[in-house]
Amino acid sequence: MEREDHPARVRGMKSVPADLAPPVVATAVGPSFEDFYRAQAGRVHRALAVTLADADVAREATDEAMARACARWGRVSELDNPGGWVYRVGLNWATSWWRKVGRERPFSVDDHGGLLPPVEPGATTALVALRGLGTHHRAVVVCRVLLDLSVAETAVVLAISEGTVKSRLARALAALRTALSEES
Amino acid sequence: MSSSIPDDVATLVRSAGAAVPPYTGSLEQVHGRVTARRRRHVLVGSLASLLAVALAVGVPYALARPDGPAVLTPMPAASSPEVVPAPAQRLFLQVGGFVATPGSYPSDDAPPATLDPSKPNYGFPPGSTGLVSVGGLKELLPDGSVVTHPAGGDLVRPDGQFVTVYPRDLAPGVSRTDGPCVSDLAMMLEVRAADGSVSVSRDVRVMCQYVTLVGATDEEAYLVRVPSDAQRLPLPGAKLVAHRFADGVERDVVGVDVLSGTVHDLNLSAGLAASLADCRLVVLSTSTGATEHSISVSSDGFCDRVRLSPDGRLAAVVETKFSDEGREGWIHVIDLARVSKVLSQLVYSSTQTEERQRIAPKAFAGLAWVDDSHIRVAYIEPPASSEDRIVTVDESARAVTLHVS
Repeated sequence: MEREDHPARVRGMKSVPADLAPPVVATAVGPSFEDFYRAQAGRVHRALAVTLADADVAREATDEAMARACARWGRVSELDNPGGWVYRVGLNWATSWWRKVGRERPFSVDDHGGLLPPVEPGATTALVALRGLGTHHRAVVVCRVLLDLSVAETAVVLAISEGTVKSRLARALAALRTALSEES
Repeated sequence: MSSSIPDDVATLVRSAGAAVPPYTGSLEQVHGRVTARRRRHVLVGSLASLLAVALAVGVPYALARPDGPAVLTPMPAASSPEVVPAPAQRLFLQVGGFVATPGSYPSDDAPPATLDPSKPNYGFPPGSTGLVSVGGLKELLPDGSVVTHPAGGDLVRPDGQFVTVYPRDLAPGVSRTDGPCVSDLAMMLEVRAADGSVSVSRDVRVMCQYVTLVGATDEEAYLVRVPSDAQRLPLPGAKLVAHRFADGVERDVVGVDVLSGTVHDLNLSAGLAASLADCRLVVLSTSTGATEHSISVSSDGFCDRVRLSPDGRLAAVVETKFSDEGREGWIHVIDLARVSKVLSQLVYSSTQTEERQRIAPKAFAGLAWVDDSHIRVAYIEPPASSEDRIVTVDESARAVTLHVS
């Protein structure tokens, strides 16, 4: 079985957006896990919540991924993009969990659960379209928009080819643009 | 093939990100997971042996028996009626649904927007499997049967009327930036009779605030209001308010900035508000706002429901533990005055193999005190024949009643 969370798989990452990079600290050994956690946990959780369309599972996935990062911080901290690694580990954890329980696409029975809290009704067609995208397509969009990753960086984080990133992105954008145009 | 992101799509995605509830995890929780993982790797062999022995002698619950004097009285809900006293608290089933449609993961087929009980598979494609709740608010009665309240709602007033808060789009089809500060959105507070007739309907939204209904008397609804810019604990400006049904006048009850953005249980007679962040239970006095208790219930699970006993002496918390081996549902009962766990009980468990075979996983569905020493826990366990069809909450609800002396 493929080990999807091995840090070596993301070593090829080229550059890191400034706001995703670990904070600079005045030590010779790099940032501590605690610093990394404080800087990145909320951001990773937000990205996972949008990707998974489930804030609760995203919380669980973030915690699990952060625990794995903590357990092997020596190696993870050497990566060009530890935040991207944690995002992918969290995504893999949630995907694996959903596969185990057969929960491929969560939805809210009473329209009060899922991605958005009640004050965000998800009433617009575009938001519904975002939630209707497959998880893999949402992941590409989230990497590009919320994590500010390039196509190449997205490919590394998600362990897919750049061509796959582009094709998934094109499909997702087409669906979202259609929804947005229907709204306007 | 363009790979640039149009501004309107980027705005949409960022809005969805901004609408995500604040992350409530903690470094302490992460370290707890690390410790638990290491411990689990060491102990998994011996634990498996111990479990096998326990199963062989027919005392599976003995593994979970606490040091305290709790006594377990398991009671299957739907299959054989329970006989319990008239409960102090009603047990409503609050559980999400999920459906897997045919096809390999992932699929881009969007699920139906609404469930249609008149159609086969509730409107899903043939071969779909999963769990759905249809028809209204579900309640597990003392005799073990499930009743549906078509009026729906989030909770019930003492007089039996249903109360709910839900969003209403006042400008459907109009494109605008979503988020807590979005325009043309109402948060409607409604009171409904059992027949669905509405006696109160009022917009309780305050721009750029989250609002959550957490309790009600016959006269007032209790709402938690959290400013949208409060992102990390403590949440500045978060407060519990009492909203008078008759005229909409609100009074501040207490600040709840140390709670995790909501009140998970409100016990008005005991003057306590309880909330969970990770598995830390925080209990506030609704009269003084002082933190009465801050108790770490567990270090390695996911806790999302708490119920205070009618006298306010005990707090029941359910915890779901996920591991590589499967999942377990536990209930813990805390004696608040003594700050001690008087009950820690395994309610359900499932292995990875079971979860692969059973499309709908076991999960907690509700929690209510029968009296000051009996807690009743509802959970979902779909029938064995659920592998190839959509099952309902009604046929999947189970319950156990636990005695804490």
